[in-house]
Amino acid sequence: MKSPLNMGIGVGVVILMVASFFYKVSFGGEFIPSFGLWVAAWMTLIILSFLYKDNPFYKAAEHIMVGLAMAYFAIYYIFQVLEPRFYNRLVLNELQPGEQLFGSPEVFRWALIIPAILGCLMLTRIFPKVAWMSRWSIAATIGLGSGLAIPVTIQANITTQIRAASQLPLDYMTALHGNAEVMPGFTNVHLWQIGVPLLMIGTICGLMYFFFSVPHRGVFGYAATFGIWILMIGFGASFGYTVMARLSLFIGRVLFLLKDWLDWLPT
Amino acid sequence: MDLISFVTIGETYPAAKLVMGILMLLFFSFVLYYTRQAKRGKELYVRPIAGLSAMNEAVGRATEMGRPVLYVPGIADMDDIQTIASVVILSEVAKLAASYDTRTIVPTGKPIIFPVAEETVRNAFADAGRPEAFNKDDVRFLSDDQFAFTAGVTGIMLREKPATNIYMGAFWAESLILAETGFLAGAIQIAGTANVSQLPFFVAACDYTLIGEELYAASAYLSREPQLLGSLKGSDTAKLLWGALILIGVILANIPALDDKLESAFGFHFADLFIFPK
Repeated sequence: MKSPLNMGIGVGVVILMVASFFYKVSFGGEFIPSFGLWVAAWMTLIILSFLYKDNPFYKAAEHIMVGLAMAYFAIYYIFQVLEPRFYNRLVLNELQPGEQLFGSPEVFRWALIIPAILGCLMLTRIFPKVAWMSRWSIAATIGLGSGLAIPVTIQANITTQIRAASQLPLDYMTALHGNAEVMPGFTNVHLWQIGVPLLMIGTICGLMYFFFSVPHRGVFGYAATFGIWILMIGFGASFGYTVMARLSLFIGRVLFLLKDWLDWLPT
Repeated sequence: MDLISFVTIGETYPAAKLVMGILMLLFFSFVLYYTRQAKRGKELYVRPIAGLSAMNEAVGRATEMGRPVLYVPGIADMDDIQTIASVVILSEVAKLAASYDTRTIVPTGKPIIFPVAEETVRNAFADAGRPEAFNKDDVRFLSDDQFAFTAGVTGIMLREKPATNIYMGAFWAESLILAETGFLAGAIQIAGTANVSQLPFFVAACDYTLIGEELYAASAYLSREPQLLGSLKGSDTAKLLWGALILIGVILANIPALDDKLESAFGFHFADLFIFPK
């Protein structure tokens, strides 16, 4: 906003926003719904202005978003976490059926003090002399997080993968036996004949790429290279798929501007 | 009691839980064995990983340009293994940056990660012998909201102009927004995530990308600590086991059933060992 040109453009945009809003309201629009709609529309345009370059309006929109999100989550944590999960249970004794520890609802209720203490210890960071106490809460969080994550990861990423890879030839045989519904829309037997071995080899070679304690040389190196090629092909397909999804989001936003805001398209 | 269940302490567990328990025990045994080997001084080889070899160069570039390094530890909470791995890498990156007298800016998106990142960077600066260079304001909490956090990070990229952007951890839809903005700002970028759906964006927009498990290997690669090297070697051995199990499954799937019925095939019984009841 230092140069007069930028200043002029900025003031012009603000005048345009205010004038267009009052124009709309004065021609029959209700104040509050119109206000919300116009804020959303202008915010959309301001965010898209970043495609040109960083500008003061984009900065303002960015700060509004960060500030609003902070305020929203502060309230969210108070009324959706602290109140129902802690205060209502511990102070008002409003326990849900089945909420018990060692077979006792009372033990469950009083055990809530432990996370509460850990939460309070996090606040000790405000006071440098006792800030070290917050490490207990951090240690508990990381320890619990890791402990819970390891079995879930093994189940989701290893046993499921082993099962899916082992099941693949069976799906192929099921398809050959005429029950092709194991993979809807993929009934071409010849494609199965190519696809199943390719998937098997791709899975094994992909695993080989992720061997870190063996040099990728010779046959092992070729297999690992094939594995990374398979991964890259997969990434390419995933990229295209996600870009399509993002385009649909963009189309939704353009429709909002043209239909809801400008009323140029029939509803 | 049928074929795929067993009884323990009055409860019936599906075979899949037993199988998973055995796999976990084997995995932990491999890790403990190789960790002990590493601690005894056995040299454990780790193959070069391009993204990590470039870390020195990337931090050095920031130093030469007199600009900070931006380290984004993802948007997942501390209960995500990727975040835990990211914090370990952050420690090494911050140590490197501190030794070069370069600022490390760490924006965080979860309240728990904020103090963890702060402690990590503070300790890294102390380990590098420069505790006084640690600037508390360089580790920031931005927002719990995914896109508010993204907006905040892109703002840092545009206004503080870091020369090096490092994204390590769990990322979702914000990955391309971050990587593209960093690219436009002219920063050298290194990314790493195990979120398969986001890897294509990092591969497309970053100079180096750590794919999947390379993120977990990074901490061992950078620190060369025996404990981490041992766990890396242990997980490699476990991968051999997973590959062998897949091969066994495929071979069994191709053996016809004794009664010639498809559903009685050995492969189905093997696959059943990995099915968790819903």
